Amino acid sequence: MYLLQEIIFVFFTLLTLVSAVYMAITTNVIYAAFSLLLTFIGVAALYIFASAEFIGLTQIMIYIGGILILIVFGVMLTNKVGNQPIRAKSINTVSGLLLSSALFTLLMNSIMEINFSKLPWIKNGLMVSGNTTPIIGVNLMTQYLLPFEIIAVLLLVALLGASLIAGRKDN
Amino acid sequence: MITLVILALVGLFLMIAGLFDISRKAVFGVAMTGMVAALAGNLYMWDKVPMAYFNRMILIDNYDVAFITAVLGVSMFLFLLSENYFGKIQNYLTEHYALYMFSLVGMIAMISFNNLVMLFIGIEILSVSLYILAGSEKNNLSSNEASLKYFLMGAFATGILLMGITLIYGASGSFYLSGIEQYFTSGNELSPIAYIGMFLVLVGMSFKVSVAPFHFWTPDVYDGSPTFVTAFMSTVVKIAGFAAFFKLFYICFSSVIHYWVEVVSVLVILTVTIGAMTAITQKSVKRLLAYSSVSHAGYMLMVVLVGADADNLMFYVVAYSISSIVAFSVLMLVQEAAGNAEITSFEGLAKVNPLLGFAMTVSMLSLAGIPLTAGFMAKVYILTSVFNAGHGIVVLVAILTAMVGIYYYFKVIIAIYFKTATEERKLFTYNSSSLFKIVLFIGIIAIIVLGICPDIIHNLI
Amino acid sequence: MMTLIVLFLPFVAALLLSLVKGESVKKIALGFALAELVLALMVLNQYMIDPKALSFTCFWITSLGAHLNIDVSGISMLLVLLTAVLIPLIILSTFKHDYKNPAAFYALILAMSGALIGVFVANDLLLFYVFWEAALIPIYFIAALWGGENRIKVTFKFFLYTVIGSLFMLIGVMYLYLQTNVPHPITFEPHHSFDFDHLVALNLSFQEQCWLFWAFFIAFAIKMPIFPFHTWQPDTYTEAPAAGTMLLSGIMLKMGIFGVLHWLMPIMNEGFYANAKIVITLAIIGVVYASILAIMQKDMKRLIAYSSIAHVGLIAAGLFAVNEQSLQGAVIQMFAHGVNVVGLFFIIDIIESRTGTRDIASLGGIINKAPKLGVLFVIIMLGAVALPLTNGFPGEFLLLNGIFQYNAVLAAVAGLTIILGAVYMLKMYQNVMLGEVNALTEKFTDLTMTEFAVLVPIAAIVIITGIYPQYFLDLTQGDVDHLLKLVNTNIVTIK
Repeated sequence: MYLLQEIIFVFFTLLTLVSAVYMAITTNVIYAAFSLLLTFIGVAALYIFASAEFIGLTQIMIYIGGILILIVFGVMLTNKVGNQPIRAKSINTVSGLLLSSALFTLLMNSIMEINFSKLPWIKNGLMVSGNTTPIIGVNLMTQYLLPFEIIAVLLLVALLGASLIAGRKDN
Repeated sequence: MITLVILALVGLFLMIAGLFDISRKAVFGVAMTGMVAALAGNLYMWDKVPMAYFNRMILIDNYDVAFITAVLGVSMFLFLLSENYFGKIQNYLTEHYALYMFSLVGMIAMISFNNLVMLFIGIEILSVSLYILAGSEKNNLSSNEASLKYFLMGAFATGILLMGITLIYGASGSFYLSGIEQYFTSGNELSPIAYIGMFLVLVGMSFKVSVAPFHFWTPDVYDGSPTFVTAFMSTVVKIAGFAAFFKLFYICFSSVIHYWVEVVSVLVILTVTIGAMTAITQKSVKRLLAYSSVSHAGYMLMVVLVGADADNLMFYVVAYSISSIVAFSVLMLVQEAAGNAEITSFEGLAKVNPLLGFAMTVSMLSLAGIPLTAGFMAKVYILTSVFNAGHGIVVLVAILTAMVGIYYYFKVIIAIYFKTATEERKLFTYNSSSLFKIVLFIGIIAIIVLGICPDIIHNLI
Repeated sequence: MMTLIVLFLPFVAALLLSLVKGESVKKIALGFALAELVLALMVLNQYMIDPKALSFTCFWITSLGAHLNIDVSGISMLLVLLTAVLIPLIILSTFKHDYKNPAAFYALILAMSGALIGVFVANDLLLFYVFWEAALIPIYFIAALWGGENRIKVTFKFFLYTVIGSLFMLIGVMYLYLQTNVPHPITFEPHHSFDFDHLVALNLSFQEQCWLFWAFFIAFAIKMPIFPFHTWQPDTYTEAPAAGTMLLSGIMLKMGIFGVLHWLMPIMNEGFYANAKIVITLAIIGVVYASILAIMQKDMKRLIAYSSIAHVGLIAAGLFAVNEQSLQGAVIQMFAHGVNVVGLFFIIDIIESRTGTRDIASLGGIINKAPKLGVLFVIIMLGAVALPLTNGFPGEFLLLNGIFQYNAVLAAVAGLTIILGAVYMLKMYQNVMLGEVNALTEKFTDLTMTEFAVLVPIAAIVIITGIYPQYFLDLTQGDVDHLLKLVNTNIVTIK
């Protein structure tokens, strides 16, 4: 049982990493979009592994079901505009690599040093068993009510912005 | 809290009002009335017992009231000086106003947050509004560029900030300021992710308030955006950004100041130097003001560095904002008349339009920190506190860059007073209503009065 | 209270003037300046009766512990008097010019005089700093708006130089401020102060005093200016309009000397004493260097500009020699130099406005056409070369005497200034006033009434203070004794 868990975990981790790397280096935008799909799926699976099934499902519904589909549509519809296939290329490879590897070492180092079992919230999290969705729902409507409401403003602004950007130009 | 609600409602109301055919004046009136009402609601909270709302998501004490007042007051001042900007918007006028209202909502959430979730959402509401406003001149390619650049950089910064917040939560187990403070002051050994979280939050906030070396988006975005939006970003938004920055570091991280004080002092030194050095070569007043705003961000960051004296921050942001807005409002008129923002467009302004020339000069003197202006007192307050905290090098660098600053601010003054306008430029008319002139004059008086009697607002908090 | 009126009247006058339109502005400005003179004389009278009644203190910036603290000492009394005497003369001297935008011009002159008086009476370091910088803005605009051809570049150089100096001083100001520790006037918690008395009472280490000395001294040295900080000066004096040059040379450079006397010497006395030798050497190099350059000048204005560096160098050397003779000499020479140099620049302005040139070689024989000018010019010039019975003599004599007590070799070198000064002044006088009348000077007319009204008081001061300098010496004796006591006690401790 434990071994199976391990295998599944490694599988999804590799799926996430490989597809993310492929997405970053490929020059074909369609391929990139599809490998992004795999990345999202991998991440969603990892969320579920961390017993955050609500987040995992949201990830699938919103990122894959919504955003990614939009991206793919956008790429396909605009691909032929101007008869130029959309290509992506990498710039600033060296400095980018340096910066990201620095960040990577930093994060890795600290992760290695953390004694996870000591962290208070991990203990609290383990106590929650079963379905987390109702707890999230209750929390959103009680403790986090104000952020929940204020996010409405954020969404409104985003909508407004979308309509302004897409709307007609000044003469 | 009431302030936040009023502004959100006014924003909604304006959006709905866009369905109907109402005059520009009425829209402006609604927005101004909304801000006045919000300000009144805010001032009502002054000197009351600190009030917590919605499970302590928001906590309002005098610090927050003061900074919200500054944000609202400075925005109203800017709105009154910018009739030309709103006059030129052809489509979606009410939506523009609504965006400004919503961005104010975001700023208020940022200032009065008591929970990092609120801080994050506030920053997001503000940023998204600004991305759109930066690109609101749709026919202008550089405006589009500014918007896209700002969006990409901003999204990146948001990611870093969010990661920092997450790591801090990971270490402390709380999003509440008091919880985080408790964790950092508990005396237990801190988890390494707490440090990384702190560092990432520092980077993320530095991005948002354009502190070097995370300032590189600033010149392009400030230059490309419509000048009114630039003025808004470099004054009102900076106030909110630094209010949040200071509050976060003062409450949460001041007990571990020895871990970050050196990093922040390096950031301060970089910011004031890079801002000043790159401003020297600028030929456009708009870019010059953009770089100078980077330099001034360095001064504001000094308050974070010292980790005390919110009064100094308050005075500095108010002095800086009034001076900047006076400069930007003159710039807007000159830009409209001359078609560009070059320093040469200001040549002989003092003769063609003495009021504008004088206003620009006073604001430049204030930004340069010449005595008898608000900018000087602001610098004296901050530099003495920095000196007192033992950062002699920072003071020395700040003074050296102030010398450089005088050079570039005076380039504008020299153009205004000592160069002569071309024949063509002598005929320019600078469209300004009498309301504009009165408000501009009040701005000039405020700069000088604050420079002579800074006590008026310094001892508030 | 009376001091407060003297301090703020010029500012009020400047504000009122900027609202006036038309020709009457000159007369109104003169009226205000004369009123200021009368007030200054009343202050002098009060000073004779009871100096303590002249000080005034109230809160200014409570958050910083800065006070509106003004006080009149003998030296500052003398300089207030100098300002009050010279400003009406300077305003009167501009009557023949029709400057464009006269309201702004005279408003700036009056504002400048207010700031200068502020520098001389401020007893709070921040107040002093604010006035110090505030004096710069009007003169910058006067020089850059109404000056000669190269004015923009030259005045900007001047402005940058002085501001950079002031910013170094600002570091020193903040440092001194943070060292103080006095009870807050309201809450009685420990607090900082800019007050002169608190700063004098500070116990600064020798190292602190040394770097503080330079932070302040560079600002003062640029203002005076002392070699090698003088490079802005000849150009600025040449390019500024006559009134601006008079303000700069007559009063403004006294700010630097006053700063040394009133702030540097009492507060950083050990640093002062330790660095005195370097400064005296620099100052005396400046004296000789500027005198030699003055001899070579072809332009009258530049010549006087260099002579001014020479005179100021001698005064500075006297300040740093710190003995009774040299300090008294410096103080009285400040007054004398202010009066003389204004007179000389005015005469040059007269000659330039009639002939259109300041070139020494192309002029000549003016005395034949304008005997009144010739006579008054001689008197003022003799004052500048320090002939006995003119006002230049007691000061220069005391200065050289004092420097001699400090170091005989330096005094001998400094003594060259008398010879060189006589050379360049007499050479100029000879070339310009004597000799043959040429085409340029043929139509030269003698002094008008207003010009006469400016030069006669100056000549009168030259002679009266030359014959009877004792009055001024008595005025500042107390201050000088006090300063000497302060510095000498510390010299003993160093030794």
